[in-house]
Amino acid sequence: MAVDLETIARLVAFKKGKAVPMASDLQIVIQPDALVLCCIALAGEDTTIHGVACGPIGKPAEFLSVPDPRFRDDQYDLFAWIGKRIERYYAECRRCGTHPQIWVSSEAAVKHLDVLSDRLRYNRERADIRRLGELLTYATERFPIGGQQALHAATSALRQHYATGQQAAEDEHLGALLTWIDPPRRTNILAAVALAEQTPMGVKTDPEFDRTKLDPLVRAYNEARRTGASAAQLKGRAQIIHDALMTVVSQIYDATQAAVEILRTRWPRRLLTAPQLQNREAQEFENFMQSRDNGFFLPTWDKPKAAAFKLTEREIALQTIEAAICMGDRVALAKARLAGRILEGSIENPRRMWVRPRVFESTFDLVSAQRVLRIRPRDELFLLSDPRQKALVRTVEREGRKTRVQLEIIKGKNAVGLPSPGSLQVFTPYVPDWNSLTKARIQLAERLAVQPWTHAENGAIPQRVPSQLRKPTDLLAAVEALR
Amino acid sequence: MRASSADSRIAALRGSLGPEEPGARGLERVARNPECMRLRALTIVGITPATAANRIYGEPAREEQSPFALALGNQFERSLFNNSAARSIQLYRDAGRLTTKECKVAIVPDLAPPLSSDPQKLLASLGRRQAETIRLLRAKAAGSKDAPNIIIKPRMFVRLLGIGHAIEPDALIAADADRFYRPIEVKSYPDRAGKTDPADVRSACRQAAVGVVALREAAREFGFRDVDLVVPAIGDLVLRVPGSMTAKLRSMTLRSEVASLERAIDEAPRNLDELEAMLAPGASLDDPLILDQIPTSYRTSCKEHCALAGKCKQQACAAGEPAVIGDMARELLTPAGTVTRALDLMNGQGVPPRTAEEVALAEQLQEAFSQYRRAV
Repeated sequence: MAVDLETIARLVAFKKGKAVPMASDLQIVIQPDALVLCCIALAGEDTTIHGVACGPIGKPAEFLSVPDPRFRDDQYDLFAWIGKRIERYYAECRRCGTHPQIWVSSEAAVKHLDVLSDRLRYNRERADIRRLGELLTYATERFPIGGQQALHAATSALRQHYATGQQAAEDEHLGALLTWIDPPRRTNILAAVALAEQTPMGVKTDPEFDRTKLDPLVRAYNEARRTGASAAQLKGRAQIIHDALMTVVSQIYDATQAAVEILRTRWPRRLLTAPQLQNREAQEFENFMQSRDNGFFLPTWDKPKAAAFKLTEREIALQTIEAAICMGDRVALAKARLAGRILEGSIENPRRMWVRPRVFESTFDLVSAQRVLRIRPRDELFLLSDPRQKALVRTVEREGRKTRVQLEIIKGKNAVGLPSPGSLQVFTPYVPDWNSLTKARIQLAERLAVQPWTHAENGAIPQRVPSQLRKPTDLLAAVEALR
Repeated sequence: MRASSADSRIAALRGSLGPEEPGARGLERVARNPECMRLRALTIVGITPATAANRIYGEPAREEQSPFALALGNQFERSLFNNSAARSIQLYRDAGRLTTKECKVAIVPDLAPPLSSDPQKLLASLGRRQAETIRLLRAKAAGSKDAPNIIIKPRMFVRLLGIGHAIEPDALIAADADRFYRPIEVKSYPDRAGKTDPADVRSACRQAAVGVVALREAAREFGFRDVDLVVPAIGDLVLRVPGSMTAKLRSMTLRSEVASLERAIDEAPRNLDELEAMLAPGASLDDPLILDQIPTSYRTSCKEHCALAGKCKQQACAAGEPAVIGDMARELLTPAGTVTRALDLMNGQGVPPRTAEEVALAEQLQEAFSQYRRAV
């Protein structure tokens, strides 16, 4: 197993006692009007919100809580309150032709929103609650898709840009992560991180806080309600619960805002492909909203065809964003170089041979000193500095500690030309193709026009039809030739 | 004879602390990090990590679960097992696992006197629960048609060093045609199919695996020879539909969980010998200095299940163990041994590489570091 860049960065961070950069450019798009949403659920009750802080980035939050989210009416009123704000924000984004962006503290908060959206979008009692579920679904369904800009977890966004001297799982605590990024002076970093970890940053309050503070307050409120206490008394008790919760929620809100601020101010260089990311997100948002306007239903489970489309979308999005980041970000490029996902080396023996009138064959050798290389004959690679040029790997030979790769130019012979001898060139297997999703969707629609028997209800196994094709003598070579 | 000898050795190692039942949770914890000698030692002698953190290291006791979550968990369990487990039976009928005639339920706590704060009465009550469980299991092993289909809260034993450690699985289930039971693990975690939290599923599966091991031991005592077939490595997880009290049943294959647990149990006698060899004669684990001597294996997942994770992390950081920066680093930097040595190799400082592995690691670290510096 080869040493990767992340291990190096974590080693350096551990030694320095401070997080170190893990990117050269800002890898996400921060919408100036993005919404920060910090919710706290009642422990064990994953479909509740006990208290919430909500506000645009760089602005103070609006707070709301309910004394006990297990009372459905109170809980629905709180959902409606959030729904109103999100509806307004989405409408504004739609009017401006942009896309919404929601920031939460951590991936735990993303999961919480996901559970909520799954649950609320089928609500039969109140249309406004169902609408909130639908609107949240846009953000939560986009989250697993590479390069999406609809929902950001502050921890994930920071982790894309910084490496800390602790375990990756420990970076999921936003307070700890921020402490690594801006460590306090004259304090041991590990002690400071341990202290930061005492503050809840996810979607639940600390069990100790629940036992000593919140549980007695909620019990007292419920008891007062049960015994028919006056409205003023109930309001007073609810206010105490609100105050207790808001100290927790406001800390999470402030930390999330701090994370956004760090990314906004300390990462002035944006990825070259940021406008494409924004455009794609805006298109996806408009499609989603149009679908809601047309009254299409959001299913709990996708049918096979829809699932195939979504899986393809995820694969292509991941491939595209990785290629885009690799082309724009120096650290990502270094990572790919170390992992052998790209080919870098000096050019030798560039030659142009006459094949027949007006047809020439352009080949060259690339000598690489990379320790790890994942290149095989028949791979097609793009020139990183000018992706119009595409080359085919003919042979790969080890020469001591170096690797000699013979390449044949198959595209861009004239537009880009032969590389000059001795020059350092980088080739990559993927370049971002922002139209590939559309092409893939067309292809999928054709192929899945008839549902395959594997997924048809009570689909009988079709009879074997003997192939009319001649069986190749060398099966392995025939399979290789398909690549 | 062997048991009593092990018992006295264990009591001596425990020192002034009283014995604690590790329960299914404690046993599965060992299987999660089998390389951690300290955790194994504590489990063998019957001290929970929470007690060790609180009473040996003097750290403030921390609540592991919120009272809200506890209340919900209890409410969910009650909803399944109240009214003679009517909802559980319905759940299994809906899944086609029980027929309408298969509705025999035994609630073990109801067959014994209630638990008391008086130690004598408590022991008597627990003994009765155990006796009733054995009676019910024996009936099933004998092929009796009166054997219950569902046994709620049975009291069973997992033998570790010849000493039985009591566990109480949530329930056991068997149709009339089944030869023996399989464990049911009830958790109030939300069931979201593929989106269910893997850590929740992992922990529930491991606890169910402890039930499988206990059932296999019982089956062996009842004379079954093919225990792996009689009690397959399968457990039923009953989770909650998000936002409701509706239960969802999922059968899980527990082959790897059971295998790792059985391995940990098999290794226990050797662990006791190793532990005694490691410590000075007469030393006991209730002394923090003695406990510190026992090596740990700090991992990313320790925080999920062990109350000593914070303490182990501090020690790992002080010792510069590569595990503090991740499990991947722990593997990659094995030739260096510590973070400090890895940094020396990376910067070409300190003692030159001593072994071929260090030479290779130094080359890799230096190349990667130069790439990193160039990039940032």
